Amino acid sequence: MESLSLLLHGFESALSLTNVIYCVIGVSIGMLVGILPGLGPVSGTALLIPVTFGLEPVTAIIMLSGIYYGSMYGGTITSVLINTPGESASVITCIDGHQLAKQGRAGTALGVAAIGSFVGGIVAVLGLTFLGPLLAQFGTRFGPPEYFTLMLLGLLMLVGLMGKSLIRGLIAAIFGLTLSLIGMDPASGAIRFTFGQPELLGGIDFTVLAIGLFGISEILSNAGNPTKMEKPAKIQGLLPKREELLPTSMSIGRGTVLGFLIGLIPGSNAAISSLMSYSLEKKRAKDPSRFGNGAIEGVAGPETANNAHSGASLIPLFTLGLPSSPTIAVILGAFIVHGLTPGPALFTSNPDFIWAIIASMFIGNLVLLIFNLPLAGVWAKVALIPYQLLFPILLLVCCVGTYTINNSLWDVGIMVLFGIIGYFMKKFDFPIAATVLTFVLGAQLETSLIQSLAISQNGILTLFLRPISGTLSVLCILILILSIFSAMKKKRSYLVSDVEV
Amino acid sequence: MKKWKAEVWFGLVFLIFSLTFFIQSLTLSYSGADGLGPGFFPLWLSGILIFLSLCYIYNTFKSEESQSEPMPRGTELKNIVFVLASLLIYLGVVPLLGFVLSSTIFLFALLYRYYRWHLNIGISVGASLFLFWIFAKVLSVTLPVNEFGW
Repeated sequence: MESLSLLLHGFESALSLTNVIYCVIGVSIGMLVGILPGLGPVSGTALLIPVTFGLEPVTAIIMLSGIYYGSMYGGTITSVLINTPGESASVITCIDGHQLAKQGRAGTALGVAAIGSFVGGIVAVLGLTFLGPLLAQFGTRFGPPEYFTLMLLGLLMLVGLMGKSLIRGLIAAIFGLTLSLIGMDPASGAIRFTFGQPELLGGIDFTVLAIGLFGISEILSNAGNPTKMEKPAKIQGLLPKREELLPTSMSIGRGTVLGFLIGLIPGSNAAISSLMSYSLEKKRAKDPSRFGNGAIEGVAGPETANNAHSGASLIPLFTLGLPSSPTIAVILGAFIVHGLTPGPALFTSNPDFIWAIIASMFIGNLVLLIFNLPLAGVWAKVALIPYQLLFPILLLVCCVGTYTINNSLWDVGIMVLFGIIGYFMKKFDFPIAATVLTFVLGAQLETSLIQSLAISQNGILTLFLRPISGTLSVLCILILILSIFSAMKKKRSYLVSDVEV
Repeated sequence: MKKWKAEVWFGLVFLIFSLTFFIQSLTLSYSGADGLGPGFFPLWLSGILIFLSLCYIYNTFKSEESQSEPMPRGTELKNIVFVLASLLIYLGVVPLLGFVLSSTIFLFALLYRYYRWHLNIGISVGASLFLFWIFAKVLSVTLPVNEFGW
């Protein structure tokens, strides 16, 4: 009950005019980012961090998280209408969503997706409201060994369970870790790998890396292979038929639970949730052959799951300070820019801040529901902007956004370099998300390991002897063995390898 | 001799990267005041990365069929090189010509093939001015400008 009164208090702050305006701006940009190909939530949030410098921290984070969960809604529209997913979590929606559109039921697909997204999003925020404080309390018991093993677990899940090959995943992850070492070592002050460049003293800026690897590489891939766009389908009628109501709401319920649970796991991402939800729906269906030919459950489940996921994945960030996906990592960066350290202490030291953010997510989801139910057609028009006109402007926006971080053209050059690297990583199926996440966690991983060993009496064994870190270490080893085993057996599930969310 | 696959080259890039970092980390002290020093993490990481790159190169040599897409060729390659070249030239001239003028030229070059020239000029000038207005005036961000302030 204490949570409730704190939440009400949060609403007071979230409902101030400035915060509501920035919340609406945030979710609108999220919708745009979700709809436009070549600009995903990672680059979207990263580009806007410099813009938030002048804002209050609360307002800034309200806007940035709005972009994050807003993009989940936006991606659906293009998946259904023109069979092109705007972001990876909506890839699976194309299958049945676009079939429905072909049958003239685009409105139903979008309506169900919007309602499902809303339910998923709201339940996840409720989860954050009630579970967040509990988890944060648990998190205060975490020392360096626990943090180290938890981060390791998340990274291993990301590398071990996703992508086409274990080796590629590991290379991508360690590449990111190595890049994070550039610059001054926070622990000892030693200068590492700057190759005499003064610009590298502070290390590579995370946003520069993220915009390059995700944004520029995507634009390059699309510029190389321009895709023909289909004419979007007409939107009529937003609700499913009467006999579909029950199965649809069941799918929404299952999608919520599934997405929420997977969202809690560090290192997982929303695309996994939507994929798993799709296969769950297909298994539960009486007649699985309908899937692929316009089954409404194939839209309802996954779309709900990815929104529940995106809400739930904020829980590890708020309570433990650990990002579970690249976009969350960007938001973590924004926390730090604004002088806040996410982690268990945040709930006790800045309750006003945290509850205002949570409250704003209720408001944001409501705004998105309105955007997506009656106004879906308006947003669909955005998808009609021809790509050849869009991509030069997007490139320019990426350049300006990167420049504004430090007012340096050097950064823009680094961004282009990572754009090229990212382009090849995409081509050869290296998971970019792994590079970006390890880059963010690199410094924390190194310090927590060194600290663990410094306070330990038993050397590296300390990771196994403490109860929480011991359990996590065993899990890490299990996952590593499992993924090596599956790599040997060549039985890896071909999940999406390059996932942005 | 069989022609090397593009993936082998990419593996070599990682190998060279990790070798450079490995040699560099030998110059950093391995142990520090509290046990481990600034050299510990880099040495191990780059060492593991060397091993992984070798595995990757070996694997791509071994596997007959290429699993991933081929290297860009023909129009695709031309498009990408053109975009990258424009981007680099843009970065080169922006400190001299200022944001508005160089952005206009950049957009004009990239849109050249798709729009007729008068329409193209309109779009390029309009978009550059709009971005300049948003960033420099509304968001008051410093942009690289020429002597006239744009």
